[in-house]
Amino acid sequence: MIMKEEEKEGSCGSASVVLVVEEPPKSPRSPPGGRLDLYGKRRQMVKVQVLEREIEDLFKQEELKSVEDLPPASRCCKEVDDFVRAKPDPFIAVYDYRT
Amino acid sequence: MSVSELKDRHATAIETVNSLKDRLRQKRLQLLDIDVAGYSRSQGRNPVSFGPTDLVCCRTLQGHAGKVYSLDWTTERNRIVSASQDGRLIVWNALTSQKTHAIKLPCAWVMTCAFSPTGQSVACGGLDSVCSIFNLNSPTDKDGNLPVSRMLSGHKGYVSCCQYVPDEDTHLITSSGDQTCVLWDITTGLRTSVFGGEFQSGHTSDVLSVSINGTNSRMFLSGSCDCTARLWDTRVASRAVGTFHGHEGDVNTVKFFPDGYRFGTGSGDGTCRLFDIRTGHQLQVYYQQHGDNEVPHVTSLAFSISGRLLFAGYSNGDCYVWDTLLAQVVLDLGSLQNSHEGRISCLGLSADGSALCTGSWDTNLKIGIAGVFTGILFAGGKAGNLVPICENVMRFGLLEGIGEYFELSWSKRLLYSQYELQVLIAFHCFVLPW
Repeated sequence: MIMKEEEKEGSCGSASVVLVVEEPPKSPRSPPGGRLDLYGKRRQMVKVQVLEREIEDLFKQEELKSVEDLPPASRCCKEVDDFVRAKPDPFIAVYDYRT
Repeated sequence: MSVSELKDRHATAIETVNSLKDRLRQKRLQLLDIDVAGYSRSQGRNPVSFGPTDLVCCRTLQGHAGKVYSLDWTTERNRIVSASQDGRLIVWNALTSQKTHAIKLPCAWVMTCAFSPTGQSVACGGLDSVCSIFNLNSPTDKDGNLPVSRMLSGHKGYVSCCQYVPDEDTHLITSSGDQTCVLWDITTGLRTSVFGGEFQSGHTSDVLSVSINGTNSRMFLSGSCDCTARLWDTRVASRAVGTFHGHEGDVNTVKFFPDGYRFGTGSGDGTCRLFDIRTGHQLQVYYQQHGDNEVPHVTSLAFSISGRLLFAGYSNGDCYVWDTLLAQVVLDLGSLQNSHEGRISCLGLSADGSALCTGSWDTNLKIGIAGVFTGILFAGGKAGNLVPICENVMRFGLLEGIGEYFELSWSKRLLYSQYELQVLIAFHCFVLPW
């Protein structure tokens, strides 16, 4: 949009254009000068909150501590082996069950 | 708090989380004394053996005009619903290969579909970010299309996966590109719970898959592009019960192991993994070395009913049958005659575990039947009728044209004495996946 400013000269009534002001070309809107990008800040805040909750969970759930009390993987492997061999399966021939 | 202070706080938090995770990883490694394959070998387990002549593709479901993206079996009757980029859901009779419904979708970009537990409804979702429910018994409109009976709106990203809560036609769980999973009340069309998202600790990237525990339907799993799988309790939406690390790519698919205490994952890193829910241990990695540099992604997986076999579909068209105990590929279904000609996008086992259906970008679905030594037997009953010893044989009509007669040993006959055997007929083949 072009803005025109007209100024009257003298009192004779003749008028002439003395100033024409053009706006700069359009560009993507940037954050208002001197103010914060509130949207970016909010996102940053949420990111921090999620991370801090994760930290809290790692401690709160005592995940680190509880790991020490977990059984070794071999016990889980035995459970898998026991379950698989005990359950009949249409895709596995009978003679395979006991192997 | 200023932005720079926030950034500092963020950096500190990241550092703390990484340090804690590292300590956790170190402690876990100390507990991984053996994997499933190592344990099974130490117990002298023999590998499952499949011969090339034991395998027959018994059904090819042709009808879609676009890539098949998803399929699901009914829990009781032998029907399959499939979703394709041709913009249709097709409901198939798996026994006859006939289509019972072809549902034109309002949005063609469908990614997932599911049958309700009673088999009366199907659900689907995709790039429209909506999960649509169709009642198969509804009358069609004037154009012959089945109307949408309910639209579940609320996701802010594509709906990648949906699954009905077992035994409930009224509840369904979806996963989405908006990083959340949602439990829906289909009756009201409202969200009962949202798992993850901006204000909760949950997945930090798109969620691609869900799997509900068949033995405890309050627990479900999700797999995500953040390289993790998470376990959720539907009663506690605020945070995941457990987060499972290990994959180095998107977790494309998750599936509970039949015992409900373990689960399998398939990933963009080309591996399938088996995790233990209670301990969080990664029990096994299933990976096959490929000749070329490009590692095919695992797109879909399913366990056989005992968990001994893991069926995994890959982006290069391979479909491996893994022996879960010994972590060996016992068969590549993609190498068989009459196999798919494109990416395996989805697969699933029938509820009784006797048939496998695979879906592909080649627009087809294929069904294979498990016909085992003891299964493919018919016995002459008192009235002279053939009595099916294994139901699935009768249901799938495998007696058509193939097979070979032979005598069984007395010990085998004893197993079926309740049928008062007069005649025994058995197929030569032990296993007939598709």
